[in-house]
Amino acid sequence: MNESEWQPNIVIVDDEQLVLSSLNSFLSLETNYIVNTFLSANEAIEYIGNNDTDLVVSDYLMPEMDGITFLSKVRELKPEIPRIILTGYADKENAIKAINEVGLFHYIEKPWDNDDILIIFRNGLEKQRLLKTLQEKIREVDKANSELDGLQSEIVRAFV
Amino acid sequence: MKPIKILYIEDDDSQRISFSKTLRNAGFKVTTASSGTKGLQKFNKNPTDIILCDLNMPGLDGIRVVKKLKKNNPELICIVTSAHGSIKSAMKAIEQGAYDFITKPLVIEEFNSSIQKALEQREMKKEIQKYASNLEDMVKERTEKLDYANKQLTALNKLSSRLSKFRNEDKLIERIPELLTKSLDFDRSLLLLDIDGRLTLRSFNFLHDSKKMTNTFERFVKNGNFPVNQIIHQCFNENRTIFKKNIKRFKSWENYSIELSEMPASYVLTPIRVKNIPIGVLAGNLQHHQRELEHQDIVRFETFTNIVGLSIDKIRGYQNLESKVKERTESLHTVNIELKKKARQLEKTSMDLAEGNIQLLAVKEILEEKNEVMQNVLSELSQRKNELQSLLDTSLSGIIMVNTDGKIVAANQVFNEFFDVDTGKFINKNIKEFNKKIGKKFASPKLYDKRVRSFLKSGKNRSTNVDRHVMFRDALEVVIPTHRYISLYSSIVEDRNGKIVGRVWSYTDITKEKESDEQVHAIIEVSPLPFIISRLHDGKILYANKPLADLIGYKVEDLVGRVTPDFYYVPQDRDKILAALKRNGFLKNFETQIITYSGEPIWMVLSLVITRIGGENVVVGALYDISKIKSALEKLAKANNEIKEAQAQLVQSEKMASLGMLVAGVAHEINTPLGAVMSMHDTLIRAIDKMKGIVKNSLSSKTTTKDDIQRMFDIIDDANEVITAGTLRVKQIVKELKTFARLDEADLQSVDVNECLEETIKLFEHELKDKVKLIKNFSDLPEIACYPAKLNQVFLNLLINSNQAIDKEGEISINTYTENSNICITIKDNGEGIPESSLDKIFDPGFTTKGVGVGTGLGLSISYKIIQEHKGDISVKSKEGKGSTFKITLPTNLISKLEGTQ
Repeated sequence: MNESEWQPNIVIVDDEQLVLSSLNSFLSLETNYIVNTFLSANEAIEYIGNNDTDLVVSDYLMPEMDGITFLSKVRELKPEIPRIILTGYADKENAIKAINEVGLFHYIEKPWDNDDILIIFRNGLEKQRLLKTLQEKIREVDKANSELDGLQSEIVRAFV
Repeated sequence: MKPIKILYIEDDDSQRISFSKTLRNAGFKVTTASSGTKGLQKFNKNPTDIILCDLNMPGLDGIRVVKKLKKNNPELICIVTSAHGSIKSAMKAIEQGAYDFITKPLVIEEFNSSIQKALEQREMKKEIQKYASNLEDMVKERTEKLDYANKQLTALNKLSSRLSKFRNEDKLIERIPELLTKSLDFDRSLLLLDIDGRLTLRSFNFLHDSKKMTNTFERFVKNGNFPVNQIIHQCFNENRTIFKKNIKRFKSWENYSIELSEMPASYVLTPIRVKNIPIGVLAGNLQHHQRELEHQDIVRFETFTNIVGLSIDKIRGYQNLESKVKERTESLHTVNIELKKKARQLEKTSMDLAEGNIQLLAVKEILEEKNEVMQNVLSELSQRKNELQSLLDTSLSGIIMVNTDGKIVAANQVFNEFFDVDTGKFINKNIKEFNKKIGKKFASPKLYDKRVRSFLKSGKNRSTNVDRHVMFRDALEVVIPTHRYISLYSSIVEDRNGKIVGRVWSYTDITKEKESDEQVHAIIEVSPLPFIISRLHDGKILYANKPLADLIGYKVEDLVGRVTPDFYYVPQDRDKILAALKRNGFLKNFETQIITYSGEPIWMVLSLVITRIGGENVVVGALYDISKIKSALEKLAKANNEIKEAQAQLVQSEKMASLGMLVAGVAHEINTPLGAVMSMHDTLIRAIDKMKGIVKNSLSSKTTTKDDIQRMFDIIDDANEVITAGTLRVKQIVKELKTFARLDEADLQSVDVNECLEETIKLFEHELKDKVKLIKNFSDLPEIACYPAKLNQVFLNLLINSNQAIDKEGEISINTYTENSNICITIKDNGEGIPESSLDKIFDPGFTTKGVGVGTGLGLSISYKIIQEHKGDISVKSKEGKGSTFKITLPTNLISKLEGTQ
């Protein structure tokens, strides 16, 4: 997969429109990502279930369900998508515990630094891209194998 | 073409002779037999192509002849003849294998056509037979080839799965020639790879060659100097398979010690391709075998090479991926370490913050308590001031107090009598003006002036060294308005620390004293301050005034005659006093404890002077009761210690106190809009930078960048919205926090407790676990006087405790109501509850059920203290496993209760 042509599809969930607006503006200015923002975690889950998603970012404290619950649902749904939590909650212990339990790619603290966002998102997406490339390679090997099978049957036909 | 031979079997002689003649004329070669048996004998002796046989014959009939002949010669054509009407027999004959029957009389044409058909059929049969046998041969041949191919395929298949197991390209390449020779029946094979644009021999396998030959090639591999010949280059460069038969030797190899067999050999060369790009050449050689290089060999060879190419590709793919995955894993590991490091720093910062908060809280408490103590001291002081004023007012001497600037700060009315001047007019005026005014009234103004100057010049305290003789001698004579003698004294006034704060001038009318010492006593006696006169050498009390007797609980007459050493609580103090008196003749402001009538010591400050009365050395002492100030000071010191103790307790507890926990929630509230605003601001800066670039470009190139500009406008609009809303949000949160802490309202206030609760809940809601439900059931309450910030702290403590007591799901209900002119607040949870054994300890400082690291154990004791300050009550009911209910009762009349206790 070519890095420069790839246009990643990312999902951001936060119950604050302020946060969604600022991240969306920033990413649309600095990246080619397709950004999908959601105020509701449930709507985001539905979207991820039906669409190819490369990265999921979520707030920690939300009314519907907290970010950890949400991201663990995303993991059940599509375990390969890198998951990032965005938290203003000063409770580091819990945040780190959550990273280990839910297998987060990263956590970002509010207020965040835009450059940090760029680097962390890029790393998460790179991981996702490599994963996709790996799958592509596996498909290629499979294809090569089936080509081999084809070659064999061709030889058999040549002899009959 | 040979003539067709016919055996004609017919018992009727005439028919036989005539028709055989006809047959011979028609070109057939005819033999005849007169019976079936004879016919059989003749046929066995000399077989013919065709049998013509009559059906009705004596002995062996036609049907049986046909049957016998056909049995041994299935290809033989038999035609039967019969008389008209014997069709049934004829059919029987055909069933036995006869080809046709001809009805008598025989006609040659009919016979010819029948023969023709029979012969054609026989030709066809032969043809079919030939085809059939050909087919069998072909099938056999194909089956053999297929078997061979199958074996080869199985070998290829095995080979492919073996190759696919290689993870290392070098090892794979090393093995390929060997696999090739073994699995495809080649005698020699070479593998060359394109290394830096040069085809290089990497591996080979010879099945039948000499050791010398093998060694030569091993050197080629090792040194990379294999002489690549033209045919290999051609294969690689043209990227196609090349095969050559019957090659004897390659010219280009003649200079090398490469032995080639004398036998002609066949070669196949195929480029090894990875993703269709040739990376090398695989060559095979058939030599010792008898078999020729066939098409299938080439196909198999190509297939083999394709498999090799795919395997190399696969390995490279894996290695590439492996290294990438490894790289990613390492970088992720580094990020992880960074993250952990950062988290530790943040945790530390957070703890510092919490500790800072605790200290702030402690400092706040200290300030409050100090303030209280200061209030007490101030009221003491104002009382003292009043006492001083009354002293001034009742003094018989004219007393005037001057500050260091020479300004009069206090004066009594005695001057009115002495000099007929209104001293009130001179307050806040310079002493010089006053002296100018009254100087004129003296018999000798110059002398007065001189005396004043001498006081100012002479030492600081000389004036208090009152020698009565000097006093009388130096008396100044006043002439206006009445004749009298005035004794002038002046003394520097110092504060506790010995700093000069002013000077006191005292004008005493000693007109009468000049005549009698008794009159001195009278003055002392009317003084509201305690005075004493005792003998210097043994301390016998000569005189004490009533204020002194009252102060220490004696009657004046009981005091006189006793000795002063009896009254010192610390006997050494008297020794110190005497030593000072003997050295200086006077002693000022000495603090000591005097034993009262009841035996209780009280703090006094003494000012003593040695003088002579009635010819004796006596000590005149003025005493001053400082016990109230002392006790206020002691309270202050005690309060100070308590504060220090509490502070130490708080500082020692390493973990977050309630305020610290609150900070976490508030931090989230603030950080969310703050994060948005900061990010948006950064984005705005970036957008404006880009905008500048776009505008610059559009000015120079005139290309339309409308879309880009519109995008920047959108971002700027978003930024305005986010930054405005975010800032307002932060402002609102800070306002809420301020309201909660009531930073600007430290005094008693009249508030609605329901509102206090709402404020606390607003801040606490962020802390609530998701599954904890908060139920509010507030009744209308009268406003009560209280310290709202302190109450908020109590509510917060209780809510935090309740929340922590609930493990998973649960609810906290808050009720408020009035009860017997009190208001009540209950906070109830259905959490884990408090063990009965702990119930009576929970308000003790340091007692905690939360385990190490969760609470400080001070929350409830602080709450208890605060409720006590409000003259209220806090109590708890709890059942383990069922939950706890805290009840706070607050009086509605706090102010009158506080006044009642004062």
